[in-house]
Amino acid sequence: MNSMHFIEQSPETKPFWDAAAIGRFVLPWCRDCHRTHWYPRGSCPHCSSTKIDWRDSEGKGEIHAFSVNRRGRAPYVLAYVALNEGPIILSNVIDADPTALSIGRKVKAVFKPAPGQPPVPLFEVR
Amino acid sequence: MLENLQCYVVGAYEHPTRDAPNKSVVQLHAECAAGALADAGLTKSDVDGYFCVDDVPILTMIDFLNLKVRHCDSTDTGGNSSLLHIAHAAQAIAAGKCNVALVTLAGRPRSEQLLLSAARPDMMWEVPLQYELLDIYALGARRHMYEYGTTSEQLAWIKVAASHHAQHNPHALLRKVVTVEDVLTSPLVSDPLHRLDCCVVSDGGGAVVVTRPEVAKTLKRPLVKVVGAGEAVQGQSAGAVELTASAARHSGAIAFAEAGVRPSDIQYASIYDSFTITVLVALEDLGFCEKGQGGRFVADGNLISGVGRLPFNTDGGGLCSNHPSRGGMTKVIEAVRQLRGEAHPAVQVRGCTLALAHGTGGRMGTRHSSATLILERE
Ligand SMILES: [Zn+2]
Repeated sequence: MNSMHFIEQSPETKPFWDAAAIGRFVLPWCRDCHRTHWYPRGSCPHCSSTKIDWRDSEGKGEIHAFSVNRRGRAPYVLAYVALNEGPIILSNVIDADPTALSIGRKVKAVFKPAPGQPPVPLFEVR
Repeated sequence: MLENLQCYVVGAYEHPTRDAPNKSVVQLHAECAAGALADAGLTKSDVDGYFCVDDVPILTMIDFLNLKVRHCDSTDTGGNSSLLHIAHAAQAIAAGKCNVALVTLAGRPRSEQLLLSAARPDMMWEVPLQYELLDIYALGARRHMYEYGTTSEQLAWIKVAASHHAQHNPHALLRKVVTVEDVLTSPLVSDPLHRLDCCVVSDGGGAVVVTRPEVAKTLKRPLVKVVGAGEAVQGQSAGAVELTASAARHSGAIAFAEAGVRPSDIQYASIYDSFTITVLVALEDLGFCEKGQGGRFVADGNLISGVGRLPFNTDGGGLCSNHPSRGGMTKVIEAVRQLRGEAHPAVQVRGCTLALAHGTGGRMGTRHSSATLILERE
């Protein structure tokens, strides 16, 4: 998605970006229905509550599905990662040998944004 | 379909171009509109309803075409939008909001760069990732292989079938018949998808005209009736992502119930084919086979006209003929050709009276729409 421009972050997700800036991975948890969700929002997509708490996550999960793009100079991996907390999130698996990946491989979140990009969670094999 | 929802597709036109560096998108719309109206035996002044996606603002389009309409709709659900527009046109006609609805589609992805609009709460999280559209579909293919044992060979059969049909279409971008081996030896662009698992990128467009029975029966064209229409949307569900099933489960069920027919009654199917996996998942979700059996269903030429049980995309589809950013319009047009008996003789389904056209818009795997139409020759 190199051709696309940076998209403005919403004020509701500021707690996520503030935490990520100091290396903490937080998930939004609903104070009313006690569930988490992804991608983060300021109102709960399960029950519509606007009472969202941001809690630390260990960032652990496993690969739910992955693809290896080989069109460019260096291959890269797009993946859905199933977090231990439940949500399945779209991300990249980085610094891995793509031929050694499989569904079910354990991964852990890291913040290693590409130059000029905001720190969304990416994943490394653990 | 409810008695009062009856309407007919009376005009259909697919633009022959696949590469339009010297034509604007609005010009393509205009040429498609004129083609479909001429096919129907109607004129611009008969049109009182207009449907298109907002690639060009709909008010601009209406003024550019100089239409005088009392109903318009620019619902954008991605590549399948034209199928929804036809369904919405049927509803508008039934509600008395218009009599003659014109639906147009045009795109120039070969000749111009597509831009993504900003201010998207979902894309905030996806733009920073390294990925292309095809990677999302590759995720679905990977998961389908994992859950059901689907193979690359089985997916390749979908392309093989499309290529068998495309050889007879003089306008198709890829007319060469390919083998399973050809697909598997094409570059693994986004593992597990090969280059030949992907649709073509073409400029072009198409249009259809939809109208009420009183008008349709005064025209000289064969009567192609919309007997069922269903639509549904599926997203990431706050993190409960489903990769191996699409909203076609719902759009198909609605359309079949409305038409009062079953998948086994369908003689021809246009299935949106952005990628081979898009077809396989849709066939399962529409009920042509059990979930997980799609690989077996499509293998061994089962989708080839005159060979298999379910002839599909006899124009060559998006995989071989035409995909002007949005492939839904051509799905309807080929279904109409089949029902009129106007498909190429080599691929025409004999005595075709019941056809299905299905579209997947957006991105199956993140956020997509499914739209299903069932059409009957009267
Ligand atoms: Zn809640």
